[in-house]
Amino acid sequence: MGHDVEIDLDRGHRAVLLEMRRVSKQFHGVRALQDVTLSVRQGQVFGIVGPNGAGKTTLFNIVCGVYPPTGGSVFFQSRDITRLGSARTARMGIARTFQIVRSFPRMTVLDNVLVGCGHRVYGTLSGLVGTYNRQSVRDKAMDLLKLVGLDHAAGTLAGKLPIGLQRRMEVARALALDPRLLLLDEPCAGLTFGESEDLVGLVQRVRDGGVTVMIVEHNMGVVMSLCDEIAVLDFGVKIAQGPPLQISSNPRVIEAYLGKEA
Amino acid sequence: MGLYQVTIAITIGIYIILTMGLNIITGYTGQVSLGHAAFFGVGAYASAILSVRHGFPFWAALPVAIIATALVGAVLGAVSTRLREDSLAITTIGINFVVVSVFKYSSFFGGALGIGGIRYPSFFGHMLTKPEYLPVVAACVALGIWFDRRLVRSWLGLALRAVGQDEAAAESLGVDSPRFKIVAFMIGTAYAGAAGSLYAHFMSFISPQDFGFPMSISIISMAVFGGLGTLRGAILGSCVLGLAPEVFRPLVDYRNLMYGAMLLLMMRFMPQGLIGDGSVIWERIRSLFAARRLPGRADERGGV
Repeated sequence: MGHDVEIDLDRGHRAVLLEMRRVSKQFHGVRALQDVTLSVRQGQVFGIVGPNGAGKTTLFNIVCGVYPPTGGSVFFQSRDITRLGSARTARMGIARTFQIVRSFPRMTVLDNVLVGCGHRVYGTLSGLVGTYNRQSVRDKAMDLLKLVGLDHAAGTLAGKLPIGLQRRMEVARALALDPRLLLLDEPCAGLTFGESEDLVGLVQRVRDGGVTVMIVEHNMGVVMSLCDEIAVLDFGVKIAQGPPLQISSNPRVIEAYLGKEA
Repeated sequence: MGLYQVTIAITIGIYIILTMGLNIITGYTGQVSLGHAAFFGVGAYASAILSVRHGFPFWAALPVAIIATALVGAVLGAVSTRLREDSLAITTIGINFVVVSVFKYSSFFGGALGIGGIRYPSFFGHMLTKPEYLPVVAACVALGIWFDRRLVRSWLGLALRAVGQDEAAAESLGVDSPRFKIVAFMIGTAYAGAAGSLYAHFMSFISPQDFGFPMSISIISMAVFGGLGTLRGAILGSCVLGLAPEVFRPLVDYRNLMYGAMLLLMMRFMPQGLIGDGSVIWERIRSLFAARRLPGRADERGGV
């Protein structure tokens, strides 16, 4: 295994963290994804872009184990995770945020993050009876809230936070899983310009902390400034992949977004 | 305390245990159960059969009834993991009717006549009297409260609340929601089993209609009235609605009508219940106490 890594380093790349092999997904005959193959390397910020309905969220849901693909497989750290299910995938180190924020509205912001801190316990029996609100765990959760700039709101009920702040709470909560891979589904949707900039800074800090990031985003400014590599989906098919500059000048991508020249 | 008051106190104690159990299933874990009385019945019948036919003392029948009820609850829990919210509610109603029918039409459970001759527990050879039974019930209530507090502070309790408030988000954080729903049903129905056992030995005679759908509605009314999702709400709801028929004696025939109307009105105008989280009254009480507390400790929300 160490040998593989060396070869990768020889090529000037880091090891592959996530690999999708010919992944397809059909919903009642509708092809949401078709033979998508891609690999995400450690330490990257990997962008997924494409017009509405291109299958971006479907791709995320398959990586996270929300539902299995109808064809193909997903590998994470060289392990097949195709049919692992949501919870076990999360415990393996794949965290996510949602396109439409999903908080635990009647819990405090701190408790929201603490739910994520329990990932080592949920698979066990004996660990479950232990008290969750211990100082060491709280300290970790508070550190994460500080990272996203929400430590002042730790005691607020999550449902009472404005959407922008709930988004950041979701990031803190996802990071509580100690993930190797973080999936952000349109993190800038509904945010103001300033809030989006804050979020870009946050993602960079997360990446610098050693977490690989996959991001679905419509805001092209954000995608171009943040991503090391971008895959473009159109009608469930991957039509391009490469570094941002290459993507933005790719004729097939321009066609997908703007339509064919008459 | 006269015998009348003792009877009411014991009845309310049993209601509290029932409502605490339902609160764990529906309040914390968000699984609407409209058939909680079925498990009340399972506990009562298990305890009655064990003590009348097999000579179990109460102290042995009680834990066995609890375990038996929890196992039946686990089956329902397993079913619930495959159902959406609304279909689960209807399924639980169905289960209530099925269980009552089984009690009613099977001779093993005594048929429509039920089971009689269940005795008060004995304590070192002395059979307890009704006033002496009250501390037994009170101890069970106390134990139930203690367990609930332990649960709420544990990782398990946190995971249950997470599942109850957003299942997909809970899953994304490593919580296997099916497994935790089954656990919630087991714990909640275990409470009902304990209440059933206490009820059987208190009434000395049980029959199927004691555990019918109207009883389930009473229990959920209590939980909703006080404030679903909080222990204090479950206790207050049980006390108030348990006392109401005694206070309004002339209206006792309309009890179910009143419960139904109350349930509708609460859902529409006060979904948080009387003293649930976010209810007007509870927020008042909280702000009253928060003013006295040091600032920055607002996150200490571990209270009852």
